[in-house]
Parts: sequence; structure tokens; C-alpha cells
Amino acid sequence: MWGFTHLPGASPELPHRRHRATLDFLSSRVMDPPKKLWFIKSTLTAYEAQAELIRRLPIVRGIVFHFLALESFGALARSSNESVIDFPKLPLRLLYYLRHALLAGTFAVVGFSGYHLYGASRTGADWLAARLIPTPEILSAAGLDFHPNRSTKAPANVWLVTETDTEELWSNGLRIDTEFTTTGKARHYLVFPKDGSSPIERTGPPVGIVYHASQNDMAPFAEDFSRDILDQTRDLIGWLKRREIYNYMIDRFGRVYRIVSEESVAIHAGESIWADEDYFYLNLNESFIGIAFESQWSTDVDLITAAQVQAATNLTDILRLRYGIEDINCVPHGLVSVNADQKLIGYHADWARGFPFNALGLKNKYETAPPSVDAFGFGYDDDLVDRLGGRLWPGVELAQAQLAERASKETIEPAELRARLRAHYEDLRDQLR
Amino acid sequence: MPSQPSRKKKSPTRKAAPRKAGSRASAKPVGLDLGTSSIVAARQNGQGIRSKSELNAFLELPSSRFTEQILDQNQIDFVRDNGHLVVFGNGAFKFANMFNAETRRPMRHGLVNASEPYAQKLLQVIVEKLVGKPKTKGQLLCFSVPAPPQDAPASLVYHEALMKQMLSSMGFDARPVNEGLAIVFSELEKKNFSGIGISFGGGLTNVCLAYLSVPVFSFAIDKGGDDVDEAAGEVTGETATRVKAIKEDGLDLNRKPRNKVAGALQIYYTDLIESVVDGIAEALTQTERMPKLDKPLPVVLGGGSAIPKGFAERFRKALEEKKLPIEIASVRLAKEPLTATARGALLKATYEN
Ligand SMILES: [Zn+2]
Repeated sequence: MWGFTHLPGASPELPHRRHRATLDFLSSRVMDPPKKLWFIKSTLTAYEAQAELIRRLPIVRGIVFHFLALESFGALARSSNESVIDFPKLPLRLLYYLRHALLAGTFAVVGFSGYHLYGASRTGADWLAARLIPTPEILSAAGLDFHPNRSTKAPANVWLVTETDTEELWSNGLRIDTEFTTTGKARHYLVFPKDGSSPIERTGPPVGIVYHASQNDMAPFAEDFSRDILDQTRDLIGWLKRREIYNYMIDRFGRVYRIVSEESVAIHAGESIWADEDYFYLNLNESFIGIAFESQWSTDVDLITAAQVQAATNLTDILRLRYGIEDINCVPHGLVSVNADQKLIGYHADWARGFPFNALGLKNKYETAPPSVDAFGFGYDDDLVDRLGGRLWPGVELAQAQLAERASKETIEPAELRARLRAHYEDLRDQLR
Repeated sequence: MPSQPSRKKKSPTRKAAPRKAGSRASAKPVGLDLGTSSIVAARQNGQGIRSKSELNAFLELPSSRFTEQILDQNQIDFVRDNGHLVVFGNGAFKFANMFNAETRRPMRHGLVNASEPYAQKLLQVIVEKLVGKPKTKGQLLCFSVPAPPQDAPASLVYHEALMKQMLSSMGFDARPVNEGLAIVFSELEKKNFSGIGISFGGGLTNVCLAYLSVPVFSFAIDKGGDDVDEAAGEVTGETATRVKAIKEDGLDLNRKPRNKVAGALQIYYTDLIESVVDGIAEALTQTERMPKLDKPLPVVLGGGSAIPKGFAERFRKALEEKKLPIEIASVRLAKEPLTATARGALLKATYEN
């Protein structure tokens, strides 16, 4: 996820873009404005009412969507006179009459894989979607542990082997696709010394890495869906490039794309807070590199492939070596993202649980007290706890305990201390403007 | 990802067809544009749409038989309140011109003016004059509301609830519709309700990008035509009336200004346009899930403040210079800029009927 405030009144769900084309086509046949509006709305509502499972499976959702659109269209045709509807010519008319057969076909296609569970709860459907299609290579990141004894120091020797116009090959085996690379604004940022001295302006290299989940549409990870998976990645790359989001993106086959050049600022972390031993970092777009896994991060299903983890490990090694990035500054988005106005942590929660630190040769940052809480008195709301499946990462508790201890030492109420820390944060934030 | 509310499952085959026209013929739905500077009502009338409007303003006068006589003779609407005469709507403007008095506004920046004690009552009186009492109880009425102001989103909730309560107490089944979306409804039917609708009101500008009638984003900017007039008046030292006169006397935003007021108006209109274009650019980058668009989007401008000659052209240029991440097909003025919002609200009311 990329960090930005959500606009009020933002989007409900629109169907997949091929289906929207159908809806567009059929709508153009309805001549009466209110009825056209009714047709569009009722099709979308009926589609939204379908189980998550159906809306996730590319072929199935296509058939169901077309069926629903034709249903609405038929209902409209029956209730209106000829002048309102320009009833489509033969092929579509035929399709309309055959719509039940189409739907029956859908049932047959998915029936064997458990369509009878369609009536199960939404959670059930999610569970099913994750397991319906045999996916031996999809791992739950939480349980991922490739190199349990890997050192958390970056390796001492990785180098660029060859380079073409569209690809770099690195000595650890990583290939970086540079075909879509774009350059943006040069890095230029402030770091705030923890000792309270005045901020330092830097234009140099990035100090850290923020890891993200791209949260785009995901076809099931299986051979039959290869085409869809590739299409989705291509769409994602185009979208990211146009908006200069993330420096790197790792697709589900482990291919690494450089989107925004390393020297340029990519949009990815929005309002965010992190710190190492010496400095506080605010709003990390300028100071941290953004790497996204093409992945639907959520609490129910963690989908990340072994190939992605391997690629992320190699990429992390390269970047750490190149820029001398410390382990402490390699951190997932969910741990740094904040709602600055409301002083809440976890505004974006991608990888606020289940990040494969170990496999990437990184220390587990879930155990680290987040500076947003620890140093700036941020809190959290129930919504975040819900989103993380009932529990926050242990670092938050640690930070709160540290805060309470500090308050009792200074013999003030924790609330008073928090207010003071928040005011300090506002001071620093002001200096960014 | 934020958790989604659980959805009720519905059998796809059991779906109600839209009601045939005529099932509620005795109570035609109403579209209402509750704007800062005027209120517009739209209704189906045979094959066409009929709209009426009143200025959203009033004037308080001390009660006297003499004043009442003048008002009566000039056919100016008024109500008595607590020993005062309150002149409202178009009449308030007429009267203010006659006697060089200042009118007051029940609404400010698109929302009910909380510091105006008469506000709610006057709104009700003006709405009643425009649409009358409902013919049957529960007659459907869609009223326009702005997008939540970014600094005070709660104020919209209050405004919307208050308007809904007022209209319900009059006997309507009242439902809100976003102002920008209403423009998409009334003006972009041929594009299957896909595009950007912008309403340039007196106190507020509303923007909505919709795709197949689904709003992708909407936002409001706390600037409108009144601010342009006011600022132009202030820097040139001219009265509001004279600024208005110059504006209506063939101001062309694409021509060299003929006098200092026209020059000032050009500057402030440009500022208004640029704020809106900046807002669109920002909204496009902030929207988390912008649907992939298959074709360029049309832009339609409505509202009284978009009327000056050359406005659409200026807007198109500003959009081009901004280099948005989406393609724009065209920029045009609404067919009837003053009634576009009300007609869109009517379309929504008709569809929901
Ligand atoms: Zn993210």
C-alpha cells in the first residue's frame, strides 16, 4: 500500500475492467437515463453481493458478472417498452437466452473444487480461495524460515556482473528488470538527531528500506492462471510507473523490477516514523527505499511465494551493501505508517504481521519498540487490532511499558507525557513543511 | 486492508424489475439543488424537465404597514416573524437593490450557516415556495450535498442530517446526492455516467470522478464564485454590484481585460480554476484504488460560477498544463449550468422511485 490520506467518499468496488467494458456496452443500449442508471446500479449491486470466492476467480467471476448483467438487462427489457431499450442484435440476444446455460457451465467447472461451499461464510470463502487450487509454492510468510542461522550483517561481496539496456545481473544471481525504470525528484530530506540538536539536511543515499504489499488484484497462483498473473503484473507496473510509486516491485515469480530509480524519491511510505540509534526519520519517502511484494497482504491470507522471498533477500543484500543500510532501518510499512493528525499508528498495516524477517537476514522488528509510540506518544485504535486479527505486534506493548516507566520516573501521568511527546512530534513535523 | 462489512447474499435470479412509469404518477419525484447562492428545484414535466429557482438569501425589515404595502405592490414574498418582516428568495435581491440594503444568507460555503438564527426556517420557506407540500406522503426528493470539507468533515454530517430532517418534516422521503455526482448524472448519461462532474457554486466547488455511476473520489474546495467577486471587489475598491455588472456584461476570460475589475476577475478566476485542477491531481494520486480506465474521461462544468465566457477553455488549458495521470477527452460547460445539479438529483430520485 502506498501512504496517503484516504479521501472521504472514496471508491466502492468496481468490477474487473473487462467486465466494465461489457457493462459499458450494454448501458449504451438503454435510452432512458433513469433506467440506464438502474441497470448499472443493479448489476453492480448484484455482483457485489456475490461471495468473495467468486469475485476472486478470474474465469468464474467473468461468467457470473455477464450472467448478472444480462439478468438486469432482461428485467429492464421486460418492464419497459421498445423505445427505452435498443435490444442488442443477435449474438447478445442469444447470449441472453443462454445465460442460464452459461451459469450452469460455471457450476460444472468449479463444482468439483468445492463450489457447494459457496454458502459458507465469507471467512470460509476466503479460506477456500486460498486453498481451492493446489498451490504448493505459496507459503505463509509467518512460518517462513529459510536461513534460520543467517547473519543479520549484509554479505561482504556482491557486485554488478553485466548490464544491458533492460537488465542488470548481480553476482548473487539477482536479475533486475530496468525496462520500466523512471526517474523522479532527487532525494533531499531532513534527519532529526535524537540528542535534540537541529535537523540535518541530506541529499545523499537512502538510509533504509520500507517493505510493502502492492494490494492489487491477485489471480490464484496456479498454471491455469499464468496469463492472468502476468496481465495483473503488467497492469501493476504501468500504474506504479505513472505515479512513481515504489523503487522496486517483486512479482510473484520473483522477478524484480526497478520502478523509480534509487536516487529518486518514490511515493510509498506517506506519513511515517522510524528511528535508528542516532536519528529520527519522518515521512520516509525521501529517505527510505520502497520495495513492494506483489501481494494481497491481509490478516486471513498471507500470500507470498518462495521465489519472492529469495529475490527480496538478494535485493536487500545488494542495497544494504551499496548504501551501508543498517539492519535496524529495514522495516515493513505497517510498523512505520501513521495517521499523523490523529496520532495513531498502523494507518497502513501492510506486513504489520507475518513479515519474513528471518529469511531476509533481518532482525525481527516486531520485537522493537516503534518510535512512533515510544518517542512520540502515538496510540492505536480498535480498528487496527481488528485488522491484525486481535493482537498487535509485541514491540507496541514494549514501547508502552517503557513510556509508563518513564512517566513514573518523572512522576507525571502517562497521558501528560504522551501529550508532551506528541507536541514534540508536531514541532519536528512543522520543520518538514 | 480495512475489513469489509459482511454482505448479505442475494439470489441473482430474484431481482425486482424497475417500477414501470406511472406507478407513482401522482407524486412525481423532485430534484433539489441546495446551493449557497440559490436553490433550484427540478421536476419531470411531460417529456421534459421543468426547473425553478430562488435566490438563497433573505432580508429582515422592521414590521410596518407601509413596508408591507410596498412589498405587496411589488409582489415580493415575505413572512412575518416576531414583529419583523422577512423578505426571501428572488424578492430579497429585488428589495435589496431598491433600498440599497444587504441580504443575508442561510448557507455558507455549501452548508447551513450555524451562526444564522433564521437559517433553517428560511431554507424551509424557500424550498416550500419552490416545490410546495408533497402530494402524497413519502414523495421522493433527492437533495444535493457537498463533499465533506477536508478540514471539518463532521460539519457535513450535521448539515446533511439537518436538511434531511427538515425535508422529512415537510413530508418528503429525502435522500442526499453528492453535488459533483449529480452533474455526472445529468450531463454524462451518454457516457454511461463516466467522467468528472464539477459544480462551481457561490461558496464552494464540488468535484466528483465517477466511473459507470460509481464515485471513485469526490472532494470540495472551499472557494466559489462569491469569493472571486469579493476578492475582485476588494482589490479594486468597487462595490459587489458593480463587479457583478461587469461580470455579466460580457467578461471574457480569454481576452485581454478591458478594465481593472475585469483584470482582477481574470486573476481570481484563474486562481479558482488552478485550485480545482490541483485538487483533481492530488485526488488522483491519493485514491488507493483508481480503476484502470479504458477510455479518456469527459469533464463537465456546472454551476453559476462557470458561466463567464472562456471559462471552460481556461479550465481545459489548466488541465492540459497539469499533465494528469489520466486522459481527458473533453472539457465542456453543462447544457444548463444553473440547473445541472438539480436535474441530476432528479435523475437519481426518478431511478430510486
Ligand atoms: Zn505500503
